[in-house]
Amino acid sequence: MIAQAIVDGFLSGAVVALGAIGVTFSLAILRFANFSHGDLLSLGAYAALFVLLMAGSTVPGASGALSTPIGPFSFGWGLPLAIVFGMAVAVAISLLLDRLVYRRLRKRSADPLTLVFASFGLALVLRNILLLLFGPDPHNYSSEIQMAVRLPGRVLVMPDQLLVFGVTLVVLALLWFFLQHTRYGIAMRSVAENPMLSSIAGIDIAGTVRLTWIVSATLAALAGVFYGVTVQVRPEMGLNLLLPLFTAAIIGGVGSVSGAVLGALLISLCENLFTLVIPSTYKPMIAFVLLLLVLYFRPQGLIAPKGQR
Amino acid sequence: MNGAAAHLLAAESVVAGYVPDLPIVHGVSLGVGPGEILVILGPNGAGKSTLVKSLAGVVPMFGGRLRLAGEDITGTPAHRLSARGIGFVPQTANVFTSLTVDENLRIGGYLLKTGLRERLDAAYARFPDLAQRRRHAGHALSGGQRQMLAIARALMTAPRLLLLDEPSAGLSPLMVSEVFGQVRQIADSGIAVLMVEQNVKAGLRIADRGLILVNGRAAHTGAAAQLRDDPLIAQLYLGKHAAPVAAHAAVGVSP
Repeated sequence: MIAQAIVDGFLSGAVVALGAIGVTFSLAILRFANFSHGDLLSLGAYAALFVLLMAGSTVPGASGALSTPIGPFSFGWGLPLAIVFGMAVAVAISLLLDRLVYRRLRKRSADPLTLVFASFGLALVLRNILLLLFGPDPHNYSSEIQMAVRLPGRVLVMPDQLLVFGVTLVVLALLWFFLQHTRYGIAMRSVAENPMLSSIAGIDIAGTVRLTWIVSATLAALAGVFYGVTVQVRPEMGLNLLLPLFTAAIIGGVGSVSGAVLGALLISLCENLFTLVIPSTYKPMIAFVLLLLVLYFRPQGLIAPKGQR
Repeated sequence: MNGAAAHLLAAESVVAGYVPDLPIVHGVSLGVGPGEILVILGPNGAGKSTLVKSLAGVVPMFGGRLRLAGEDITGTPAHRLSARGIGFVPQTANVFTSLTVDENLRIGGYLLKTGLRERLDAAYARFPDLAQRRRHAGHALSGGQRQMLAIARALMTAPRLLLLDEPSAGLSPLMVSEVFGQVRQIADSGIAVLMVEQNVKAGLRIADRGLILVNGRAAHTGAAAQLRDDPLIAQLYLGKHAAPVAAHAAVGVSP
């Protein structure tokens, strides 16, 4: 029982981690709490769903190759294609919204709270457009049956879950390399700490803001699709994930990618462990209680980037 | 002030500040040539820092002209000035404390297409103290090491002009002379240096020329030695006699 809850916690924590990284980036680099980030996950998930629906219905010849499950997994080669499309849509929409809304507000040196409210509004717009296009009912990427894999300790996991976890680890490793060893990655970290000094060194802040949206939206779309693969796609999925995403970013320490990942794992583990003893109706409360505890005992977060601000 | 032709940087009638209606710098002209140190001195609140920040493009200029080697660079945003050969070291928050020494220098060399390795080696050769700490985070450095790192960062792109905002602030006398020794060497290598300084004696000792800013206006300019030896100037603006400065301040436009 407990072993199963721990494994489930790790597996579902991967999705939260990918989303929480975007939240921590927007807090640290864009300098506002982006409440539409959850709906960016939904957007990516639905864009991917669109590709899978199209592949299944309109291209009869291709549907075989694209929707026949690969090995033990529930999906076919259409999913990688759908992921790429989901990322492209999420990136395009976030750059568009930045251009239309956030950049105008930044130019008028709007208060961060104004940007927060703008993101609230955009979240509503995005969510309702998805509702309008796809309806309120949940969708599954696949109706194929997959056999659970038995791990030691009588733990059962789905092959999809293992793959999602593995891909998340690879993506996190790539992100770490990008932030530590490429000039654009170091530029993102420098702008997070000190925009003025960064621009003196020749870094274009506007370009770094765009790059931040691109990275955050790409990870959000991936998280959304992974949620769709392991759970299901619903218009309110992003809204429901928002609290865990923010909690993970805050308890990890704003601006810290490893902190966001650690925070995500911690939340998912707690959610899965505590629902063994309390009714699962109270699950959303767990992230909230964790957030309160961390804010009370360690407000800078578990891994606060040292010497910042 | 000599003819603008000899100057690498020539500023004419710079008006600058944070709000258009309340300029802090009221039409200052100055020039600094290669290999020369120009020190900007003056009482607190005279606008020294605002002046150097406006030259660096981080505080808006509301009037006047800037020329770098004859080219008009008025209104160029801060992130483009680095590529034109201007390095700026702010007074505070001048290193990235969450990044390592090495990463700070890489950010300094952000615009370099090639030769980053060589510039890093040159920076570590100039500041051996930093070489030993290249993996240390900025927040783990002492005040003097931070100032060295800030200067090294600004030198990464081999600028023609280096702007320094109070490099001696908060440093021990020993560190001040070390930092100033470096600044003199930098100028001697052919770089034009414009430095704002609170520490009058030390500043005039290493500078070639000085400009005394009072209430956002250039009150006196001249050779450093001449300013240093002028008893009236020392008494009026640079000494410990507060009264004449206050009297002068009452005449000008106070910010």
